[in-house]
Amino acid sequence: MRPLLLFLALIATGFALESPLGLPTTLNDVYIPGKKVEPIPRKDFSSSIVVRILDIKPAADGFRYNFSLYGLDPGTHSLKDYLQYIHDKSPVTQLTQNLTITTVKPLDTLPAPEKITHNSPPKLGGYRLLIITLGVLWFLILLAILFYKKKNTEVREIPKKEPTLKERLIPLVLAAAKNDLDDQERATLERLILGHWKEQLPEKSLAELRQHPESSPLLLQLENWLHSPNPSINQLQISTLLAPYGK
Amino acid sequence: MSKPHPTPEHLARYLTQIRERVGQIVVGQDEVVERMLIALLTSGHILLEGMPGLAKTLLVNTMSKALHLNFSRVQFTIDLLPSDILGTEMLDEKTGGFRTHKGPIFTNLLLTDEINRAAPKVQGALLEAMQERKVTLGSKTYSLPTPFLVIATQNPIEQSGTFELPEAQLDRFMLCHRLQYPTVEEEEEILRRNLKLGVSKKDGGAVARTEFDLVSEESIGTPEDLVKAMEAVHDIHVSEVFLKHVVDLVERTRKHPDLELGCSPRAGISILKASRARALIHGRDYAIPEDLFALADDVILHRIRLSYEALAEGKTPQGVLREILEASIS
Repeated sequence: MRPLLLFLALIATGFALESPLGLPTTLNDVYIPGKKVEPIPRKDFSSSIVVRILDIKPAADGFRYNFSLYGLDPGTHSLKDYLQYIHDKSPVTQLTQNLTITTVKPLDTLPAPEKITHNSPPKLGGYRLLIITLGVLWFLILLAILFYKKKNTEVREIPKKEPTLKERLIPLVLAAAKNDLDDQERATLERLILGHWKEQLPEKSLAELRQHPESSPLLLQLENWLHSPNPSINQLQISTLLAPYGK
Repeated sequence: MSKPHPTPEHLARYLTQIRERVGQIVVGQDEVVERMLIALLTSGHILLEGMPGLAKTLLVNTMSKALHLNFSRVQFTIDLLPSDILGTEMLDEKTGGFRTHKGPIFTNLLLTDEINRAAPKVQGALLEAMQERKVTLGSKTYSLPTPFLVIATQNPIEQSGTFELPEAQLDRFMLCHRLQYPTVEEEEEILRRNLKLGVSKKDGGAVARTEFDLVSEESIGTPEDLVKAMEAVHDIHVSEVFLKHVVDLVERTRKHPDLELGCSPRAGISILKASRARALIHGRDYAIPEDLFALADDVILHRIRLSYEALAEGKTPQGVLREILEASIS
């Protein structure tokens, strides 16, 4: 009698249970002989069904289990492939219960996630290439401008030695002594003499310089020599007056 | 036998007397008097920039009396019309024809107060008459009296409701002098003189006397003396060296980086003319660099315009001109 009951139980559990894809279903009172079993832990996403044990009840030479199942891949899957004995982690062999995961649509029309592929970086070209090229050019031009400016600043920093007022004055005074000045040079000579006295007496205006005891003797005579239609000073006198400025 | 040609010293004495006469009435404006004489002797015109109450009218009035010249004053306002200055043709009911009514411009010294308050068409009419020295009324053209000098004034502070004179029109003024407030001593002297004015009795009544009551009707010299002085200005010697100085200064204003607009050739001519007149006023028969430096502000400042960059840096035309003058002698 007992072998018959075991046989009937095995047949009963051999029926394939159907469940829609992705929806949970329960399977109760599944007899599995031997010691307690447990679901094989999932280590990746390759498992086609997810098995949970809801309840375990002792039975003769084994246990009765209540399972919660839901399928991830369409097709018929054997439940024993997802169970193992707790004590030695050995696979369960004495179980014929199958689970068929059904779909409403044909299998070949089901949406499937895109396979992850390792794409190589897209080939440079078109707009991206243009942007990168322009960026590099901009950077190079910026560097060129910076270096050019720096170079120019360095050039400017080199003090360009301009002749001093005295250095410019001496040759004109010497030429004046020889009466060898044209009008432009005479004008420059007068401006430099005025500049010289402006340096010496910076607080004085030109009108005041003409009356100052130090500057007036030369300035008045110079004016007379350069501007008067009938100068009362001759070449020798002007040379004598200018002589101190030629040293 | 013709009269001997007056020497520069004689003419300088005549011009000094005029300055002294004005100085008896107006305190502390000797430089303005000198500039007005320069403008008068060279047939130029002068623009005075300054605050109200600096005795501009009194100055011109005194000067016209001293020189025995006619004087008119026009207050420029927004509603002034060109005919208000120049004159117009009016219908004469008695004769049935048109009668010419000459405006206040037909005078020797014309004081136009606050020239920038009149509309541009009035300014234009005045400046045109200033340059051409002729006025057309109806179908007839009338010459303006000689000498003819316009002394225009403008307030540098109040600019709302004014029409700023463009550079081209400013250039027609030979000189633009900036009037300064008197010094403390001069201010005290003004007050002392004012205390002594007293009251003028007339027709059984009395009125407080003003400085205008002190202006003597007696003139110094004759109009011929003024003509001789004007002729003498043309005899003032200008050396080649002085010409080089003028050209150098004008060139520097044109090349200065802070200036958008430098001096025009008219500015160079004005410097020459003004320097000659100043030389005469100071009793010399030749122009010297001091004349150039003394007149540079009045001849050049209203003719130059700073660049935007210089304005942004807070520079002023006076400062830039100082730089130019200092650079020219260094």
